[in-house]
Amino acid sequence: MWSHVWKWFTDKWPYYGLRHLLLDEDVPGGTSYFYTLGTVILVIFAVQVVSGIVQLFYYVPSVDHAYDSVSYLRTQVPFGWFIHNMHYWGAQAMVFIVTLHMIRVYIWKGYKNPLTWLIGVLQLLTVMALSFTGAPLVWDMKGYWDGEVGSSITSTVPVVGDIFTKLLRGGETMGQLALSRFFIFHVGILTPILAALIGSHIAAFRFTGVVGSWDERKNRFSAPLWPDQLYKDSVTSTIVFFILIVLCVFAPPSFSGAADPSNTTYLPKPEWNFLFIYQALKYFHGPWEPVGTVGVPFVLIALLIVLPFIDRSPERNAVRRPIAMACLVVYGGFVVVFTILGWLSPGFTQMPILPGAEKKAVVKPQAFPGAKKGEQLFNSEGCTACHRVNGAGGTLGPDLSQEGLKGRDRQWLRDQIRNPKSHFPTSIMPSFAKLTDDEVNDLIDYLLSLGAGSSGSPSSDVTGQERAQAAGARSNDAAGPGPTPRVNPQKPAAGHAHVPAENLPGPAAYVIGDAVNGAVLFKQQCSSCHGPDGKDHVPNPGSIDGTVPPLNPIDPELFNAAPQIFAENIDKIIQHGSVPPGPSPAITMPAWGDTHSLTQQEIANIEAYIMSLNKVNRARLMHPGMEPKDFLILVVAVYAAVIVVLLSARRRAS
Amino acid sequence: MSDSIYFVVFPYLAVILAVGVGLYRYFINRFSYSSMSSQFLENRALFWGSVPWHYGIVLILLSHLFATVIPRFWASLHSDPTRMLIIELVGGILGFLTLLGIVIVVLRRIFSPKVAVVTTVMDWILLADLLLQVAAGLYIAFFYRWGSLWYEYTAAPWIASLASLTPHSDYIIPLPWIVRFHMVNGFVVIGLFPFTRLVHIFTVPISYLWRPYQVVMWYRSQTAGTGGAFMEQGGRAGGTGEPGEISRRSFFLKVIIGTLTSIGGLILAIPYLRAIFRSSPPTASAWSEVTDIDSLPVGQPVDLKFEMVSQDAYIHGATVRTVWVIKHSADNLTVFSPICPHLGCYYTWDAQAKLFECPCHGSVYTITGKVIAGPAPRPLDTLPYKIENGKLFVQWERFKVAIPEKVRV
Repeated sequence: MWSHVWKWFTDKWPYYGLRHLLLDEDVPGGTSYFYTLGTVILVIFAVQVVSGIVQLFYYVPSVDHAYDSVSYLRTQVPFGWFIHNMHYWGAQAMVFIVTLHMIRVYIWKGYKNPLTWLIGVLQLLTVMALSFTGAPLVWDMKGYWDGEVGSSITSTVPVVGDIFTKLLRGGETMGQLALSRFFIFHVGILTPILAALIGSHIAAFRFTGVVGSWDERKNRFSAPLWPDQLYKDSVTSTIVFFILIVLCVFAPPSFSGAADPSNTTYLPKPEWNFLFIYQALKYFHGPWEPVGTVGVPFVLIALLIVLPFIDRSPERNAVRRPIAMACLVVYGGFVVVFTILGWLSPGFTQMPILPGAEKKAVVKPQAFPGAKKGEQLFNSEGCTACHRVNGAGGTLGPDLSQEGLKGRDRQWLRDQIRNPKSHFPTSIMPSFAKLTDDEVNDLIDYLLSLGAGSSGSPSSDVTGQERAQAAGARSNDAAGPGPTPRVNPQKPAAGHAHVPAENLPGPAAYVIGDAVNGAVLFKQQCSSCHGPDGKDHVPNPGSIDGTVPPLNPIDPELFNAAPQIFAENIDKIIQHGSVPPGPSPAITMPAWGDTHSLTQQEIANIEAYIMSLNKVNRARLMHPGMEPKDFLILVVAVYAAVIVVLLSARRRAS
Repeated sequence: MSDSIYFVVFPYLAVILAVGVGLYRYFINRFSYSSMSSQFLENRALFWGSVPWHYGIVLILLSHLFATVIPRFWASLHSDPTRMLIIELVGGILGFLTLLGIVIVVLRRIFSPKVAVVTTVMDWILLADLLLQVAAGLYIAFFYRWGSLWYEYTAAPWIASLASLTPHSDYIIPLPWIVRFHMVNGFVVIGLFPFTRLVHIFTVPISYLWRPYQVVMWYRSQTAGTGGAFMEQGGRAGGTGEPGEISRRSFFLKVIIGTLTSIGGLILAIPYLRAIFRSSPPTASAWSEVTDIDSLPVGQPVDLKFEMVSQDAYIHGATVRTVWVIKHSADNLTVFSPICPHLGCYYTWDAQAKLFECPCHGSVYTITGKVIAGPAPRPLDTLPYKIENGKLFVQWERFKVAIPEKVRV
């Protein structure tokens, strides 16, 4: 019965023809493991497509939820960790193996058909573009800055730079429109392009045939592509696949916290595969900048394109092509050395690299009429002794370079300037009550004008919505004066019961923060009262306990081994503050969230850090499907069993 | 009712069929008691299919048998984590072996024209059923971690109760559907036994268990075209008359490529499918404050909106819900879900007729929730409530619509 169906099918569809086209080929000089890299790329591409599609079942490209949806996939969905990590490591492996593949072809002088090589160069560029557009989709700190810096670099290109950046971002800054565009470029445009390029690459390569060994004597004999060469391909692919699984288990990509442009403690750096360009850019300043942003990549790509037309001698033996090999060493050496230099260099400070931010401060000065006077006051009144703005000033107080992004209202700033202890009881900032109202207003204008998102009018508060659009912040973190949960737009009837916001955790409780960045923030904001690493018993006269509660170990009533509950417990205190019991406690916990002293993303990072002090991993896998290590044991066992069976069968067969 | 058909009546029926028809066939048509081997028609794929299948399935069936007959001993084996890990690993590998074997055997019957000709409809049914059974078994083994532990308390007592003619299906009814399917389908296989070549299990002698693998083939020199029909139909290698040596080697390479590809595919496919076909974890519904008890009129239904903290996957926030509340006395209330149990519309209160009416399909309910007209299959759904400090708290729940029972979604 089946043979009839099969015959009917093959009569109607060119199965045998296609199979002949794909598989029936002779490899001159015999098979080699060196030739297996192309197939490995094909396998990784398939893995990327499948894992990408599965991620789309959970991912949403929205600044509000992108990070949370990825966190949800990774921690709450069975095998979500495997899917996401596989896509991440598959992407890294793709770039790496494409490079190896090109080097291999160059050494063997495999560009018998120049078109095959040219399509290959296009594939390399598409893979790099996929890598560039993929990282911001997670909308974490790392991805956000990858996208921000990458699209800023394109804007320095003369003439077309601005148009191109706008095309990429959809607007002036990295926000929802940018995320949507990165998403559609990554999923809907670049991936189909890469698939089509792979198809034409294989077709072009088969059309002219395989070059084979450079040793002509060897080429008198040949081996069939199927199954001999594909056997070696499948062995290499399996090894690479296995390495990817090991990386997924032991080296998962870190949770770098939800994207937060106003968190200046994060030092961004591009992905490893862009480090060499990033490093090369550093040597070109001012008018020479376009040389770095356009010239260097252009030269690198142009060299690849003209290669098959320059290198036309019939000699293919690598040993007898010293100049070609020297060129490879120089070209590869440039990339490798600059990648290492970029790797070792400190991350860039955020402000100077943002051309958009500088421009904006110039473009909209009229929005804050007192800003100019305020700046003079800021310098003359000694603010710069403690506060740093755009790289100048002391470090005793918080950096105010992005003060305009923090969503603080005028009243808050007025209180802070007039009576700093009203917000931070332990603050060492002196009171500036002597300033006149006008002077304070000017100072506030100046402070609000700082930062990339300096929109909003001087008389009204910078609202959460405006701030979110301006800075690409997560709007749920900036909603209104307090962290009220989003309410269904349906108009509630009069007199219905509200959930009291002060009893509820804020949005930060549901965001998986980054403990590493949390440690930095903790040191700045929390350690003066809670002690370094949350360990000291700082005296708190007037409270019943007599000391500020230590956080390491934390109060057992707050502790919970389940990270979500633990986060909700401590979040209520961090958001809304607390007053310790006692007649007149000298130190009280400020309401960090309600006063916008910290962003929700920063609070989430600090929570992750506090939990890590108490040996709880905020990013713990809640529904792993199978624990990663158990999964690896199973995979190893299956491969071991298969290898044993195949080896014994081979012995039996021979 | 249907449960007792599946888990009591059907198993007995299957065993009766197996014994009755089996004996009938044995005495009437004894020569048909055979595996009806097709080995001389196609040998290579058979080797790769049949050998893993038989080694795998025999050991797995033996472990099922042990666990049923001596459940206590079997459970004590599992009590040590290391032993349990070893048993689980060996079982898992044998399961994969079995799956691989039966898939190859099925493919062989599909793609080898000679074998396809001698394959009957009954063979296809049997193969499909065995494939289902193995797949279900593997699924259970991988995705229900308590697999080896529950057996002692569920399957073993159920089968013992069947054997002692005091059937109790209660042991297994609460189990997930796939486990119940695996159990019932086991009896389907037993029922199929006398009608298929499965009877070869009971052929004597059984020395095939320890004799070496035996090759049956035509008495003529073998060429590449005859044996490799499984994968080599058409194409270059098929029928070119290459020497058997090269052909055997290339066949072996193809087996390796196929195995590595399918193992890699499985390693990806199982987790990926698991991530997609998962039931979303139930969210515990919390108590939400609705209103002050004193503000409610007595004996008069009121619809009250309230805000509840809700969680929808990764989105946390507040949602406004409605309930119908009827106050009988200060501490006696009825709280109705506002959703019509017919097809999920929101019904209203007709104050003149003193009836709840659903505008969508005309279901009408009394103030106690009883259906008096229309297509609704059950009374209005009540919700749990509690009163604390004079305030009404409600637990919001949703129920499946269009069925006579009140079942939570």
